[in-house]
Amino acid sequence: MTTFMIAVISGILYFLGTSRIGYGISSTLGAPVFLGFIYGLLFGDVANGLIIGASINLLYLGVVFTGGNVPSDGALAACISIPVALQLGLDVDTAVTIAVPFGILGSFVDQIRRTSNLIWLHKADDFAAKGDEKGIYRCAMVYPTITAFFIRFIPVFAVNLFGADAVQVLLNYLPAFITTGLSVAGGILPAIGFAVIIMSIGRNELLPYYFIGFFAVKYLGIGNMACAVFGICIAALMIYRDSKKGAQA
Amino acid sequence: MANIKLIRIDFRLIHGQVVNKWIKITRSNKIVVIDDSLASNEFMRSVYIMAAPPGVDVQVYSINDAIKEWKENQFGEGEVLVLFKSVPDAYRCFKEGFEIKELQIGGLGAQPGRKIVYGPITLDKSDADQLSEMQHAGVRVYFHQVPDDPSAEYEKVMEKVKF
Amino acid sequence: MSERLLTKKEVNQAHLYWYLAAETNNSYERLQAPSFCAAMAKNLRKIYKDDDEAYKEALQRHLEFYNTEGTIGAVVVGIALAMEEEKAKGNLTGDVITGIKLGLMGPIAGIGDTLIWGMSKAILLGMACTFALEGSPVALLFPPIFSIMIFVVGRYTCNLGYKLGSEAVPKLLKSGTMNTLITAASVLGLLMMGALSASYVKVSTPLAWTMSSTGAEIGLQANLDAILPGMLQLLAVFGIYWYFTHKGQNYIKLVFTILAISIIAAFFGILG
Repeated sequence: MTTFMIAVISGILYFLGTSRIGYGISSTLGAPVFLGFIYGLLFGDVANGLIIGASINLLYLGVVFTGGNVPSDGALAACISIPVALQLGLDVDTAVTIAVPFGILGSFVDQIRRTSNLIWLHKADDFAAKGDEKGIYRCAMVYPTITAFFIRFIPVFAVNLFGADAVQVLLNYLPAFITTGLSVAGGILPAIGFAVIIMSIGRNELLPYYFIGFFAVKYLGIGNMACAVFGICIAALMIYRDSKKGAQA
Repeated sequence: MANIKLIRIDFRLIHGQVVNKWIKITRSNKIVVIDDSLASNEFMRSVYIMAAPPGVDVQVYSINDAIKEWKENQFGEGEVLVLFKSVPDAYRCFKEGFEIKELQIGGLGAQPGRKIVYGPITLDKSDADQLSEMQHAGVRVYFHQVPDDPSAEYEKVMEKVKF
Repeated sequence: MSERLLTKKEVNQAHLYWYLAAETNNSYERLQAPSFCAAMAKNLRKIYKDDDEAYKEALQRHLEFYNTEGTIGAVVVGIALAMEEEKAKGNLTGDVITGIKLGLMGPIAGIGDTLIWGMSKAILLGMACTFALEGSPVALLFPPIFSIMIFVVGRYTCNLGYKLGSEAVPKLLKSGTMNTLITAASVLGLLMMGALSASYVKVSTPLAWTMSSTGAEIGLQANLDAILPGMLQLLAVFGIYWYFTHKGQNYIKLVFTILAISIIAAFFGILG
């Protein structure tokens, strides 16, 4: 596939992943793990695409858009880092390190979108005064989405045109300890995602469950999915216990 | 006496940013909401108390009751996050003896006659006068919407704003 | 309840538009206002079919500042429809509707952000990652579950809101059901995050030294693992946690600190 095509597809994927049409649909289309799968298909290496996508996704599991603010943008991170990594055959950890700065930039892209939406908001005021419901639909959904397409497509398209080459050149010239360092960082960075979730759950009395999960893997060597299955059982027990309490009270 | 972790002005009172970010980062276990209209609306008051996140106690006071409560026992025990809906409310409590060391302005919405001063946060002339007065009295006033975004000191921001 | 004007299909239409548009025109000035207005518009037309002025007024009323979590918050769309219907009969004024909307949006956002976005999303995408990290496309099952769940729950809460009016909210929140769900989801989330961090936070040290007496090489990592397996991983997670709770949440600074530490540690061969 040509670099140009990759850039076009990436721009479209980023737009679809962040268009926010459908309150929860973007959470699927914009999830790095999903994007990893799509890129895996495009580059003929689904397994690797999934692994890189999921590794990036770990960082963004706990991100909540409170008050409409996007603190960091996993979709932008994925739409740039995954195609670069798959083209150059980078290791997973380096791909994660490349992803992170773009995740931060994504919050600025969203600020541009929300600022541009002011135009359509004020147009909607005019339509409301005229009692024109079709106009309101257009201002609420159609116009912002068209604007968002350009805001989302252009930066990702541009970066992908040159991204892989630039990273290749950079990696060629950087001394070995820096490239090792970048890969080390990629191993540590997912810890941010976990720390964010521990904090957003924020209940010290429940923290032992985190350690149970951690050491179940370390000492007992059980898989992550097995841990999730036991977790579902414990959660079900808690709900059952509390609902019985509620029925008696 | 309660340990006051954060005093915030936010026209939305308790919402996602407060529940998901500020309570966690300040590790508070009690929210004191000081707002006359909420305190007098039994239905809304009960919704606020029911919607308290697990492990967090929500108390709703009118301004007068809040001052009384503060003078009697400084809001009791716990790590407390205090919420005001508007600048005049906070100013009135401050004037009547509620101790404010730091005052965070987290959200004040747009309305005709109000000026955007920092991010989406707006002030009008009387807000600005009251905040300036509090600041001169030694209160650290600052703008901060969510912890992941940067904050800004009131003094710095107001250098560029004219009413 | 007296005779209701809107059919279930019409309430569902309001929810569908809300679901589609909730975040598309989110601006700093009034956030979800246009989306809320768009969700209401068609049914407002029916409610005020003989009164053009009241219709325009209602559209403008719902273009005022509004922001909440959209899944549980769909209940407010239903409540607003029920209240507009009462207003058309002359039973209440527009201020009351705005007051209820503004009052409910905060507490509902608090619960919705926690339960839906903080937990359900983390859990379902966490499961997706669990499979994907093994290279298995089974991962793709989980993210759509989240999207569909938001639609189904939203449709339910929206209908409940229309049926019960503002009483729907105490019903949704009552008797600690929400808190039980949040606690149970927290437990599941923490267990999964513990397991995932054990596998996918990668920190280890290549430091080693040779015993002068026997000539045997001893690796530091092996010794650390003997004391407490995964010690460095836990140190990374809780070091960052400590940073967040004590040093503020400057994400950019944190990322660059981690990069700097990694590169320096790689230079001295401490980590690798």
